[in-house]
Amino acid sequence: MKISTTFEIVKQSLYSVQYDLYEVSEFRRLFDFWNNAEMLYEYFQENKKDLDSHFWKGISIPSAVLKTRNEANEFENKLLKFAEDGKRNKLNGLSSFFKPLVDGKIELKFEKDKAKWPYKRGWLRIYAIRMGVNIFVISGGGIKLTSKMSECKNLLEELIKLQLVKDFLEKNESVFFEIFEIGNNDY
Amino acid sequence: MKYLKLEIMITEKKVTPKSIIENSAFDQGWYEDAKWRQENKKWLDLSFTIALRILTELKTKSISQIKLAEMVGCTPQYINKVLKGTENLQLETIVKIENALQTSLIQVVGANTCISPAKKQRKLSHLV
Repeated sequence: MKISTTFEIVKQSLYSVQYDLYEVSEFRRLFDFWNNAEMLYEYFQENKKDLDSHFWKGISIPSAVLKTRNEANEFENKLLKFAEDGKRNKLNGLSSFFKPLVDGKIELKFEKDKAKWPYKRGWLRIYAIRMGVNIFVISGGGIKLTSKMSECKNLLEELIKLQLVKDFLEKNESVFFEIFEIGNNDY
Repeated sequence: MKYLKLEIMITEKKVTPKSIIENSAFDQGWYEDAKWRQENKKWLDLSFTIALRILTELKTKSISQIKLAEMVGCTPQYINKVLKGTENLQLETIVKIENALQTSLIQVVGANTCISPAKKQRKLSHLV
């Protein structure tokens, strides 16, 4: 899998990569998936075991499909609101919506992050790399049906995608030279 | 003659990948889609719920999408579009699918309380 291009979702705030395997950006692919009844129905059929676990207490497939779509609509609205608000007030931007992928693991540069909505019992995830204050590049996302990301086989690929985007950003990091005037002397 | 001697320090600094910010195409289409989804939310919700009901019926009755298309008299591609849950369905199509699956997909609120013209006539004549 390779990154074929990048898209700007919200100007100077939210970006998304597109992989060569897909025809749309990850941002679009995720929301298309989360709004597609048939694809969701198939997904939950394949992962019925997780729905039957004590964690989700045997939620039915139709209920799981509806829950996903409802959460996706809320998620989309929240994500955009944070992105737009962040342009006016840095404290209310995407940086307060995305959290470190591993709780408490704060990285100074190109931090691997996750976003979820609603905070409680929400199972949708968007993964991104932090480029700067309120500036993020989406690497992917998915439906997290287990308590730990590592236990959800559908999300294991997301870890690879996060690293792929991080490497891509590091490779494309531009270097410039700052010139400081230390002093000038007339003579 | 006066000379100016400048002392400068050059430092290397890495910044946010400018290539991403400058070279990313703006996804205008997505903005339009999101706006369209908000404006058409009510019928899209209905369409999605109907798609979900059909999917459940197909699963329960072990009917394939191709078979349903044959029963309804449309293409499998159209059934596939319906099952995405974003199709603006005609009442005629809904009834055809209901007949094929022998189930009810939608109900009109208050439909059972409507009085037929004959019944209305009988009531009026009773009053007279």
